Amino acid sequence: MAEAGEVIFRQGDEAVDMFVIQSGAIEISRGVAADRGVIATLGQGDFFGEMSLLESLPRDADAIAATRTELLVITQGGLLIRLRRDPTFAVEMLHRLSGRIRALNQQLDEGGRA
Amino acid sequence: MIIDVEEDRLFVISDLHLGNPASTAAARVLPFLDHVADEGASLCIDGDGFDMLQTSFKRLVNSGVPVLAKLRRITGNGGRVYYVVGNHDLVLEHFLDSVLTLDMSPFLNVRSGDALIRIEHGHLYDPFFARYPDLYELATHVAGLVLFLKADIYRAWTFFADKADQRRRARAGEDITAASYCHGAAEMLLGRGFDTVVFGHTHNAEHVQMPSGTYVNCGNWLRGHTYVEIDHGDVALKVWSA
Repeated sequence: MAEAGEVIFRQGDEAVDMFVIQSGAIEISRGVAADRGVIATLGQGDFFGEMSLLESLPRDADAIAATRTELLVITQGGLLIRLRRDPTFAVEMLHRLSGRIRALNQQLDEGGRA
Repeated sequence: MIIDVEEDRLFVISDLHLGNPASTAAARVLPFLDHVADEGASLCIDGDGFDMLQTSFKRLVNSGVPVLAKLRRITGNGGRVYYVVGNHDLVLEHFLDSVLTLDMSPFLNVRSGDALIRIEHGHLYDPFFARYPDLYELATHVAGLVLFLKADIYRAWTFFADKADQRRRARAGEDITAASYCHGAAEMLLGRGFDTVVFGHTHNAEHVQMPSGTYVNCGNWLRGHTYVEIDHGDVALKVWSA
């Protein structure tokens, strides 16, 4: 359980867990000081932190609870067991990751045209 | 692939097994589909709507065509028709996608009111299907041949299946998550943030309060007539009695 304003992780943190939001909301933000910006607000059923879990690389963004939030923590070993028991979880991860790549491609296109 | 949808009013049915010799759904489901269309609501067929494992082409066409017409009526009245693929209709995916204005999906995450609802056929959690998919399909084909000889054998099968289910539930005692594989799977999905999980596949209509939320099974239309109605996040298991 995380209270509103509680930091789940910071950009650059070393970690290998991912999180599923059971209830509440999480703000994902990137950048430093004045350049910091919220890039996504995630809600019930969404997940985050999977990049560090999949690549064993430091966190790429900050994650802060926007409201009182319940989280399910999934470890690397836990992910394999979950995929075995809950195969739809993999499809949902791929679906969300595909959506994020599409959004990034769109931003690149718009940046190229500007 | 569409998996995230928003619906205020959504009716869910499963396991019609249209074309199966044991199914009596073909005529009985038509007034129900008219009701959905008249309400301007959306419909989800939660797997095994059309039976490709235990049928003949003639049976499938005879029972399927009137249903397809009613599904068109639902979309014509502004509703959407979702088809969640089950284990008896896997090979129909492209056919249904091309002949109907419907959304095929392996499962649905439905946002309705403030609730997040997972709709899935449920066969992926069936231990027999998960461990021995080829044997499962073979056994289903063999059972289909028996049904062609005597369709009433389905009644005997449900009798013994119910008895086995009762024994399993008695052994599970107070632990509701151990009462069946569906309960265990539903609890796992509820732990991911869903408020309600809706399955089909078992043919057993039930509405169960689990530790982390609600589990509902649509039941079947082979001999039954149960459906799930989702209304602005409220989920109710109902019996069609028109």
